Amino acid sequence: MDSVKQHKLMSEEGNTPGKYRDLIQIALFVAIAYTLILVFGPQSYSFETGADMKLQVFYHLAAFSPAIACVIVRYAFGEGFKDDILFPKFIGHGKAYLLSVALPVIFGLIACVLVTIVLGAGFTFKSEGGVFDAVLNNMLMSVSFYYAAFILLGEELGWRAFLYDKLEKHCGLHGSVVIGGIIWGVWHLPPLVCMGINFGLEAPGFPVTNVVLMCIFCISAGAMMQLLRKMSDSVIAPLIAHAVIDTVCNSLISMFLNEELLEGKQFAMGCCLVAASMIVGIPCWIAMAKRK
Amino acid sequence: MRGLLYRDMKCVVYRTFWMFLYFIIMDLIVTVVFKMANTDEAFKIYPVLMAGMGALFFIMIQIIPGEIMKTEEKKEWKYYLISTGLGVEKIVAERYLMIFLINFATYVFAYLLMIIFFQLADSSTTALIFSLANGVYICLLGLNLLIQAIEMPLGYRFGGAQSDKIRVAILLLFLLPLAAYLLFGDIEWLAGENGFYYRYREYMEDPELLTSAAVSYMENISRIALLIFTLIPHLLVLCYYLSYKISCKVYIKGVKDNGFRETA
Repeated sequence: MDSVKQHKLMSEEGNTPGKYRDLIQIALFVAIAYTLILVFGPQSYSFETGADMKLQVFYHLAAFSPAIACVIVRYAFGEGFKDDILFPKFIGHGKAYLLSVALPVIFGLIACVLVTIVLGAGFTFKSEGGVFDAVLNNMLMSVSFYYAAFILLGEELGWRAFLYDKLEKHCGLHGSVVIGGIIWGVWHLPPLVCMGINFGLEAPGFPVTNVVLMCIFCISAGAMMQLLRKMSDSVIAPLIAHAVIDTVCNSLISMFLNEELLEGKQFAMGCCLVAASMIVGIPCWIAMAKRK
Repeated sequence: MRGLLYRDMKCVVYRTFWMFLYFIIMDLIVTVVFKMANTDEAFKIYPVLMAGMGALFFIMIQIIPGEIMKTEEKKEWKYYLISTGLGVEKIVAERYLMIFLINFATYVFAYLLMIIFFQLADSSTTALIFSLANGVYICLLGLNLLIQAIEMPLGYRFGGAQSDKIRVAILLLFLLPLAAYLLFGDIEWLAGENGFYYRYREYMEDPELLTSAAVSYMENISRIALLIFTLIPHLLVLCYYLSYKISCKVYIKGVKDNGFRETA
């Protein structure tokens, strides 16, 4: 029996060499993903990226860093892609795919309500051209769903198709959600610092507050994504959910909330997003624990 | 499903590899020639030529699904596949996934080639022109998927040998009206005095002009047309899904009819 097979067997049995092997895999994965995002991220996550081809390449390398790390680690440890969670499994998993659209939309609507309550930002259906313009704006936004799904494949291949499962083996379900969420949150450091995504560049205690809040957001959102991953036995469902959050939710927020009243209040709005993610994420976490 | 993907990949790996290599060499030759010419005039044509090469690549890659289908029939795999108990839905889903992956890989490859060779040529290509070329590639990816969504159920029903004819017929169905429009239609926007063809050089000299032309076009386009435009990607996904469903329905009938006829 060769050493890889022996390690695999031991890993399945929970023996020490297998445990160390998994921990080394996780450490290597995190090191590669972080190195790529820290090397290419700060340059590419800027407002000039769209105008420079080289920065475009850097941006894609940074965005795909978890997927690249996953492929390298799986290849290096002879693991391959034997688990077929990369394939979409629509047949028999309709509920999971329905939830992959419904949950992010619910998250977006809750975020709108919270922003209205906290900031009094005006929960109005605003569109100069009436309903047709509103539909048109949403349709234009929905086209970007496909590009978002392509970019986010880079993240989902790393987080849901590798990290969370490996962590769950050793830290349990709750540990994997918390630790995975923190790793995922900290990975967002370059866009958080360079562009101030979600919380702005003028947040109190910037950038530490931003990173901490992002980690909380990622823990909650991670619970939702992991539930979908488990329900569908595929990474495509969380990928759809992630893309819906990044496109349709933004569209909902811009359609229902008064932008003038929101100006300069990005941090408070970000906090509302975190709260909304917790409202949706915690029940998903509980449901996932019950499923187990 | 992994095994089926691997099998399909093995069927086309060499052909696809040579196609990819051919385009790398062709792009390299074009880039070297333009680099040697090293004139502003030459570099104004360079992005168009490269985008055209990419478009040709997309057209050529269309033969791959037909090739897989023909190999499958030649080796009589379909009988064994049915007996594996995988189910028609999974067997057909794998082929659709494979076709999507091939087309997507083509897009990524063409995109990367464009970035690399534009950098090598050191042309004064602006991000806007680059985005336009990228837009052309995305349209071609969509068109390829649409053509294959039409071709696949017909190929499953009438056999792989008919697949090529069906594809050519579909292409003609797209190209003939286009040719008729270009010959007899109102193409003032393209070849008129203020049309794109004559203003191309101006656009290349002053990219701001192209930006303002694009903005003004977007402002003038009717909202209904814009709505239809935004619906296209969603309709394409729907078409692909419907095509898959039809293929599932005709699969068994196709195996019975074409399999026996070809092996007889």
